[in-house]
Amino acid sequence: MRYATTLGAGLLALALTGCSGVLTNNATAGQNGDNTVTVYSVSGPEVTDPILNEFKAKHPEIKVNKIGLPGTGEAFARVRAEKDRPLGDVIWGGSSELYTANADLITPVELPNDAATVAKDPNHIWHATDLLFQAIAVNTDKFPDAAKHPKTFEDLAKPDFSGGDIAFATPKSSGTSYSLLTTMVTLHDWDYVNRFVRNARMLDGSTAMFNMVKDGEVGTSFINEDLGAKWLAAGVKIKLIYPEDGVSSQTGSAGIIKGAAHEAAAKTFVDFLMSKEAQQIMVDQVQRRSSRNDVSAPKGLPPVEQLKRADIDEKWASEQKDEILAKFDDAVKSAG
Amino acid sequence: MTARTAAQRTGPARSRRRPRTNWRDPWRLAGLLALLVLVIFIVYPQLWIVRAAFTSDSGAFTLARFGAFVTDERFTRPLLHSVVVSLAVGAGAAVVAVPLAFVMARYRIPGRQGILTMLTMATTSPPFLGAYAWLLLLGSGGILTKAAKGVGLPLPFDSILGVGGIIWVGVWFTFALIFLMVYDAFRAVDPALEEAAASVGSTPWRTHAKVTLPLAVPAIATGCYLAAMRIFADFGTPMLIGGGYQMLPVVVYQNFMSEVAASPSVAATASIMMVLVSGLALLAQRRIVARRSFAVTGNRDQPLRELRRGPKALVLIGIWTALLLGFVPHLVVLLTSFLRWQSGILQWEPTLENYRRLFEESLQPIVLSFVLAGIACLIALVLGVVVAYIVARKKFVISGPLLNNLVMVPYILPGTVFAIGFILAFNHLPVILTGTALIIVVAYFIRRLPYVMKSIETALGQVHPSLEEAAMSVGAPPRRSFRDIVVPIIRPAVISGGTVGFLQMITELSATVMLYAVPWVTMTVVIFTNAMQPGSPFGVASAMTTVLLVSVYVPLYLLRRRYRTVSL
Repeated sequence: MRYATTLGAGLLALALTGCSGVLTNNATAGQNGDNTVTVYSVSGPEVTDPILNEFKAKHPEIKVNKIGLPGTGEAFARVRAEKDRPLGDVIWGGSSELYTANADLITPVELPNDAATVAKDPNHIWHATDLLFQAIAVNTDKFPDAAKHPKTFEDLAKPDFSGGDIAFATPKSSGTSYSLLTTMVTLHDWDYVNRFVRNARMLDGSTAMFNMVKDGEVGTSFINEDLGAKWLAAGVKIKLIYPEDGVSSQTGSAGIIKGAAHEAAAKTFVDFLMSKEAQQIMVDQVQRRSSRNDVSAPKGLPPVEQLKRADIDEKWASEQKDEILAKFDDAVKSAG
Repeated sequence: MTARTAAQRTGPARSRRRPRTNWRDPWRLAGLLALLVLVIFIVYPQLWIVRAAFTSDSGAFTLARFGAFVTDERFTRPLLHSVVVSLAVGAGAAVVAVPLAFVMARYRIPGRQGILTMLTMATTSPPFLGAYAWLLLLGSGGILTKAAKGVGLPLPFDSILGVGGIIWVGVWFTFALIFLMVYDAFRAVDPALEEAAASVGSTPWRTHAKVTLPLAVPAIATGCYLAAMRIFADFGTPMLIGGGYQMLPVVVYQNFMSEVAASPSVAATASIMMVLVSGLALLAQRRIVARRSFAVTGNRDQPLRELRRGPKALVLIGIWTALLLGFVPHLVVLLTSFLRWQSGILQWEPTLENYRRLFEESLQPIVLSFVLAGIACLIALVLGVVVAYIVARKKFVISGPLLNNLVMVPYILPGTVFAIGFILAFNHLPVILTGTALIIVVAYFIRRLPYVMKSIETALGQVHPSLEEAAMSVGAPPRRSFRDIVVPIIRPAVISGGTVGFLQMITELSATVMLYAVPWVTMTVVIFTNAMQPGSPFGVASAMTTVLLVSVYVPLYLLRRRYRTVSL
């Protein structure tokens, strides 16, 4: 017991030292003026670190505090909860529609490099940092017959599709899946969706959708092309197929949080993300497509010109969201 | 004849004293203070959930959302799934844990201290990577699945993915929790009771069924309750290996955090449903514990008996198999931390690169995790003893049940949701905690208080109040009888509850991730950041997890060794 008491006293001493530091050092107080910027990031270090290193070299005067958050949904939930006293300055990652949907949390700003990006937001809510396509992924162990591999969205909905279940994350929780759904409806129609869900296996999130084709739990799935290419390089038995009838895509984005304590540094940071140097690193080290025209495609990914990009009516996709999701729910229900 | 009848006899005597509200009882004041703490840190931050659940889209008061849980398949199915899986996990874990605990408590088993320490260690699963380990072994393309296919061994399943997998993983990550509670209970049974039964001609089996097992029932019930609730509230496991099997925590999480169409009101309603279900479970647990079969009337230890060679071998095989299965996630993480990962894919090449990258960064997360969890654990112990004592002993009509139910709320809420409440409540005056390390301390302490409080409550449930009453009747003031009678008896439970609580705090992830701010980066945050996306450097996460587990287990081992030699 004496041992436990000593241990307790020791911990208490540590506690008090800890507390005194804690209470005086509020991470957001910003006594350093504009010398720090707090970034809520939804990407892993494999994406952020190379670019942050370059930023550090280019802007040694600004210190970046990166906070990793599980996903864009969580990031906006945190920003929304902190609305009255924002603790973050920048959200980085996730597709542009999510920024538009949460426009009330973002400061619209026009940045110098906005003009250089292919996709631009007329309202200056989001700023394009990369370009993301989804390919169909086939696990060649689970589904070896190359002659039967799907080539189009249309193939995936055929009643005699022989690849087994197609993993599909529910579009209610996955932005990637929502974008795939709107692509399906645009390229085909709701009847197509009805047929597709009969071949699909519904999952809770896009990570599960990617992992299941990697692990061979299913033969077919969709995958973000950069992840697919990296997994291919790491020896995963998958094949990436860009559907010939149209490819879904998103604009990876960043935005400046409304009421950010370090707005000037935040602007410098976001503008840097779109700069040619940063974009070159995005392509060379992160292996993602650049949001700029003057930077070519990363190794292992086909050039944009070879892909037929599906043209989605953004306005329809965002304004009719509830209806689109409800229709999808009905399709799933009727498929049993 | 049994202890139960002895307890019943003293029942009326206590209830006669109950109605007098004695405001000079120091426990009354302590209870009110504890209640205040819980109101500030549980009720106040999470009120937004209640508000959201009872508000219609147009902003008016509504009960309609709860109707959906009876009629709408999107909710009834996950609700049913969750209840079934929780019951299955609770039962499965008890089937594994109770016989093992009994044998360990009564017979001389070689290496018992080591086994006990390992069981304590097994109560924590490596955060984040735990369920993933099973997938790596028993998924479609898993190591064991492939090996079995290679040698032509038929497996009863294609993949661990699905409801069976959730239950399997759940059993192995909760059985140690039940074991520890039940083991303490079996140890605490007064041998005189069993000797008495034997002396009037009861066979060993009959004694076991009629005396020993009933005395351990409160501990078994509490253990099962904690195990079942742990899986009931867990969203990581179904998300990772459910393969689309819908469970309530996933529904809650998706509706709160969806990037496409979050519906906080639906999620809030589902959260309240979860709290209600857990309230029912708590009621059942309380009923069983309150039947009060007191095991301890003296302070005599159970003698350890010898086992014959055959049964001993069987027992040892059983114990080590259970331990091995409980440690599968830990072992897989340890192994993979020494292998190369490329873009989140394991490469089967040995390397120290993961550790090199880990130690390039500062070691501050290790120290910080210990400091934060240490402070939180001390606070939880103080409050845990107070609440447990009041719940188990004092028949406070209002504050007793209120405390008991409130303590459990954070156990049920998903950590992320819990964290949102914290931000909403403490990001403005009068109390600003966001952005500091203090908010993590408070979150740890509140979220893991149930572990601490429940183990102390169970220990108290075994001690007959007559011991304290006897002390008071010879003139000892309440404080003195508490210090001299109750403290020595609950000390093992305080230590084991505190240990489990500490382990749970230092491995807390989901709330920490929503609440942390630079520079307050804990070990779990490092693990999480390196495994957050499918292409992330999992090797670094594995290495950090290994460092976390080792740095927790070493002091745990020392403490356990020291404490056992002191108290036994």
